[in-house]
Amino acid sequence: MLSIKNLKKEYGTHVILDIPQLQFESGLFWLKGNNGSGKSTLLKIISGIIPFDGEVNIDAVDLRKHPTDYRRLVNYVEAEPLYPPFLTGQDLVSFFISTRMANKEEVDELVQKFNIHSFIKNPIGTYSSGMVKKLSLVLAFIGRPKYILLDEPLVTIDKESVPILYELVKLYFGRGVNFVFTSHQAFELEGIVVKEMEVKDHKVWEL
Amino acid sequence: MGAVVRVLHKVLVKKFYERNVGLLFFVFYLMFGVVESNQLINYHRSLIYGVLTSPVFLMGVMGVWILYSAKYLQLVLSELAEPHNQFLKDYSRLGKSHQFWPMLLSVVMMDQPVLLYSVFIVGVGIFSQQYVAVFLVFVFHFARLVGCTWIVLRRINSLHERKATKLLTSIQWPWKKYFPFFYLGHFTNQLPLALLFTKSFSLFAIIGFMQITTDHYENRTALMGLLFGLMAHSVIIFESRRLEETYLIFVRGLPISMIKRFLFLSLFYGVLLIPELVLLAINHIVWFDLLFITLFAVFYLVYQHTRLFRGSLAIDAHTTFTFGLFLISFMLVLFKLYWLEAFVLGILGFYQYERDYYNFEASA
Repeated sequence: MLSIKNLKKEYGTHVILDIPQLQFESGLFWLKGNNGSGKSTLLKIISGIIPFDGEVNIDAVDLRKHPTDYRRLVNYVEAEPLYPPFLTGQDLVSFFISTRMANKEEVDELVQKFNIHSFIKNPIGTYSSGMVKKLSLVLAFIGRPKYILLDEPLVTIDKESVPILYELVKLYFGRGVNFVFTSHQAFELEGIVVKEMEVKDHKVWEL
Repeated sequence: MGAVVRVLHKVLVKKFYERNVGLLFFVFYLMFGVVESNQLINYHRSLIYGVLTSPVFLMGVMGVWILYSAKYLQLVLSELAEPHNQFLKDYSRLGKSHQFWPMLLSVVMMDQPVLLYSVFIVGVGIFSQQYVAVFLVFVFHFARLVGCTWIVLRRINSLHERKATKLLTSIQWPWKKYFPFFYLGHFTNQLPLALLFTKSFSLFAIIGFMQITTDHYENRTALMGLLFGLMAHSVIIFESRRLEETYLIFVRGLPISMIKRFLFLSLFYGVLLIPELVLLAINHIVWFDLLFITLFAVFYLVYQHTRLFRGSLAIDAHTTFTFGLFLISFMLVLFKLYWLEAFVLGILGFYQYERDYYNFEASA
């Protein structure tokens, strides 16, 4: 279970999030909210890439006390990911395999599924935004995470890739992986209940 | 015309000096700070006389001036490629002479350090009747400034083609890149000129100081040169941190322990310093000293890198700190305490890295 306690995030005097208590049990969670409501900030906090006040833990593994173990349990992909343009997709995939101690064959399958094998050995600087997004989605599934956080996963990918993403979400959900995602488009996953939540007035509300 | 000059000044000239204040301050110190004040005028008069009377020396100085021009051209061309500067496309709508003069003025403003010193050169040249050399200096500066202006204007007039212009060919490694070398790849691919400048300066500083001869084994002369070289790496350190905050944000989310991250960082700076260390090794620095010098050099750079996780990522504060650390280190090297500084910087570097790494946020 992903648990958040007394979370506060401010930029200067501007409060972005003020969440006394929040829990994501097992399942798929769709975070909704207006632009600037704090959805992406919340995902960044949970992924451990930006500082915050409060507590975040997964199954009693605290983000502050056990930063490395915690990060093994969460994978995150940004809405508009940025990677060094001189690296190839293969460089990044190899780096993620080694840090997340992932199975290479499984990752090769992901690469095949998202159909990025044709350009993965080219420098990222030559990719279109859609190609970068597909690469970032492959990276999101590498390893053995308990939670995968996807910020606007449907933005910029082509319509052929959408069912592939749905299929992978179902597959990984079946293996016990939970998902928290933001999206301005509906997530159509047959046979799986998607729990909807809204980020509003600095807090997260169940819908 | 005045409005155009003001815009160019803000977008290009100001940015150039903001980015290079540390380097310029450092060169200024080398030129005027290391000589006794009562010897300063005689020293520079002799230096300039040497430049004017030796064609080889003059060509060498002209080479340095070309490198300086390349430095600001690199910045200007990369700034013109930035999305927020695309409004400069409108500059190409001006007539040829309306384009030329404001840009020439901007180039002259960026060239001020060279031009100011050239005034002294011309003065000494006229005084010592070296008219041919003075004439050559005039022609050279004229051609260089007009050439630079032409290159920038050519770039502005082709902005609509959206082609990136690089002054130095970037190096794309043909082999697989591993994490600590992401940083190195950034410099060989994105900032090759900055890397070339830093390494050239660093190596020349060591070679220069090693010309001082002593009648017994003395590693401090080499260390002084190395210290100047390390100071020149301040731009590399700052750009490495900028890389982390732009393209390597995702690395924060990966399960890598702080010790491992610190070792990766040390490995990157260790590899970066290989040319300096090889130069010291072939100049008969004993292996035991070389071991401590290596630790000193690596932790000197790592410490500055980890310090940039505090406060905002600002070049002016970084430059001031770099200079302060240089002065302290200079004294410690004089007293042969560099081994102690190596350990202190290593320990403090790791302490502040562990404390500040996850607390830093560029947009905060």
